[in-house]
Amino acid sequence: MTEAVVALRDVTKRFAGHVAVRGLSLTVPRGVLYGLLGPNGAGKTTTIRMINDIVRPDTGAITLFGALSPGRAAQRRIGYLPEERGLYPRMTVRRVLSFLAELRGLDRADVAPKIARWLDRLELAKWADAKVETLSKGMQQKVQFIATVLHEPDLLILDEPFSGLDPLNADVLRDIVREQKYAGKTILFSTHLMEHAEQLCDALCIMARAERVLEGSLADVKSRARDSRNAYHVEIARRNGEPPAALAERAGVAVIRAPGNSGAYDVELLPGQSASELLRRLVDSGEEIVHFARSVPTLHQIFVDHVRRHEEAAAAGGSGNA
Amino acid sequence: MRSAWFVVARREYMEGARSKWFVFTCLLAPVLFVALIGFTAWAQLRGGGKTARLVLIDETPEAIGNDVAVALEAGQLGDGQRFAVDLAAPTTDRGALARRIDVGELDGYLVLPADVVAGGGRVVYRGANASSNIDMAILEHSLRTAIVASRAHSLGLSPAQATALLAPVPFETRQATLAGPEVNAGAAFALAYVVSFLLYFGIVLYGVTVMRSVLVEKSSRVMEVVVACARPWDLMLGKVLGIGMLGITQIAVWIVLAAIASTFEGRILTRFAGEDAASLALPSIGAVRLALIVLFFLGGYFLYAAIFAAVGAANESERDAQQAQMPVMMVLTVASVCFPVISGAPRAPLAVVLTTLPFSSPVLMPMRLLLTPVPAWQLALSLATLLGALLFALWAAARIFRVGSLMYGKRPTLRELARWVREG
Repeated sequence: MTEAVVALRDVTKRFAGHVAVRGLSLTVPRGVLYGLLGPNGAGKTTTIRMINDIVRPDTGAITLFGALSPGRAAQRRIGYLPEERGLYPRMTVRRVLSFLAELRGLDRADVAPKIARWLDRLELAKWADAKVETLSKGMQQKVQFIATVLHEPDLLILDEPFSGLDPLNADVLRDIVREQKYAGKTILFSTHLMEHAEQLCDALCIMARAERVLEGSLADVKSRARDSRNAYHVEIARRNGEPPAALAERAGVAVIRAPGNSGAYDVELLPGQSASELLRRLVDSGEEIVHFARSVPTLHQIFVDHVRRHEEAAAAGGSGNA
Repeated sequence: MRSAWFVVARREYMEGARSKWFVFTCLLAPVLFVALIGFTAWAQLRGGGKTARLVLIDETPEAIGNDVAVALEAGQLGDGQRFAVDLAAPTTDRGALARRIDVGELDGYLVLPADVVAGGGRVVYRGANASSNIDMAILEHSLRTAIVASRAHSLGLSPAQATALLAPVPFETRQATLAGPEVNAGAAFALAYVVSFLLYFGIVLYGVTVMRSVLVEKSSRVMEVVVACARPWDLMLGKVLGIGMLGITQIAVWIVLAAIASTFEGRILTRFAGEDAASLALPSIGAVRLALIVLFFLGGYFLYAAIFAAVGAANESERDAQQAQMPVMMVLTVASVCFPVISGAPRAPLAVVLTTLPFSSPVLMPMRLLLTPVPAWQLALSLATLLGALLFALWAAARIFRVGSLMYGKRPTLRELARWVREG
């Protein structure tokens, strides 16, 4: 088991009228791209702010880098990109980057060449001496990202890093995030966009209504979701429209979805029904099967299922958020 | 590696010093200020550059009107006459004169009642220039000279005797001080007021600058990055120190400019005040008192800057903050309204209390120091109270900063603010 870079144990944070995070435990192993997923208002940003020592938990423990509590020493090893982006509008790009790096304890002389390299890398070199307020939003966001990585932190915390970026810049950012991971950094990022999470995450935690719904590696989460359903993907050659009789008989078949007219079907079997039975019926009926496989749900489906179930349970059990 | 507060202070200082606003107030403001005062003085002395035309209605049996007219016309205005006087008969129609003043043919008319030499009646001047202090002073002086001379004559005194009788009585007030040369009381009074007002303006100006700086960080949302890099205490301290240094730089530039101007001081004063110039020369403050004044200024600045920073952190927009800063401004303004209390009785118990309270001592103690010797224990007590108050204010402000810097939306109530300080 690798060392945990971030470990939360039973952390709760209340604000004046509501509970923002309730009894949250999670573990981010070293060198992992970890996604913190959840609908708006699930408590992601509060969690991230607690790790950054911007707000303090009411109860529970947060351990960083194996031994530290959130605070000064840990902050130096963290690069934090907040969801609310902002830089000093009247400062030049170079000066604002230098200031933020020095604030984290870097030497001005050391930091200058790094700034130049990063600006070059993100195609901002010719804006180095422009005032921040003259840059477009996307460019400002790239500058802010540089400020996050300039001091070469061990842990990157990115709150909704892709929001507000156009697809080109989002790709650039995704490449850099992957690169950071390969360089041995740990990355914790929050998002409510499941496609990004699915492409990037090694591990994830889904939050809803201030609580953890699910945590684990992406592979585990997916295989668990796969195993919990009796669903298959069937493709039949030269077949359009109407499902074959063997499927249409509905013997033991709960749901059929035919995405498009391609002869592909998503089939969900009732509990206790076996896949071999279905396959035999298809073969017996003379269909030419080109693909038959256990279907793996997308992260999007997993997310929607779990969050919906959690919210229904919360609603049924009466709102605990009073 | 630099301390975070130092990095923050340097940023505030460098960015502030680069702004056009700073360069403007550093160099142009004193020039404009001096130009304004100079112009006002010059314009008053010149009376607008125009000879005032008067009609003098002489009802006196002694016919002193002519003497008054001669004295008035002797007054100079640059190269020209200040007054041109026409004598008129007692029967002159006052209504017609008023109409002439109305249309601008005439500046005013003066009526010398019949019994004025005997000590009755009242000389009345009606004119468009009645609000000109200098014109009225010359008018009164000329009248007094002519009437007193006439009275002397009627008492049988020779002109030489009259002159001897009217010789001025030299009277001068000097401020008693512990050390240094005695100074003219009027000049000490003026200096005390000017210094106290400058301190008041300095504290307000730079305190509000601190508040603005916090608001910019909030409204540009840069605050969250910054609070993730440094402790609120470092951020507060750095901000207050950086902007304070900016203020000190500005004052230093002004002092240098004033020093350059003061090498011409003698010439300037002579030009405006004639031979009285020597008595108007500003008293020197002395190193100890100067150091004390600087200490009180710094203390006052830190105290109010911390409060203004907290106001900035607890609010979101400049407009909200403007309302919330009103009580702070009121306290400072009340302190400045108390200037006459101090100058009127610098050693009275009320003055001692006002110069010990930390909210008023930064502007009032310097004034008291410039007017009267202050016992060492009172100075020590005042400085200690101020230090205690400013440390508390900085500490509380840092806690409000911590919570408030990321609060957007509704403005907190006083009770919520108190909770932020407790839990910060």
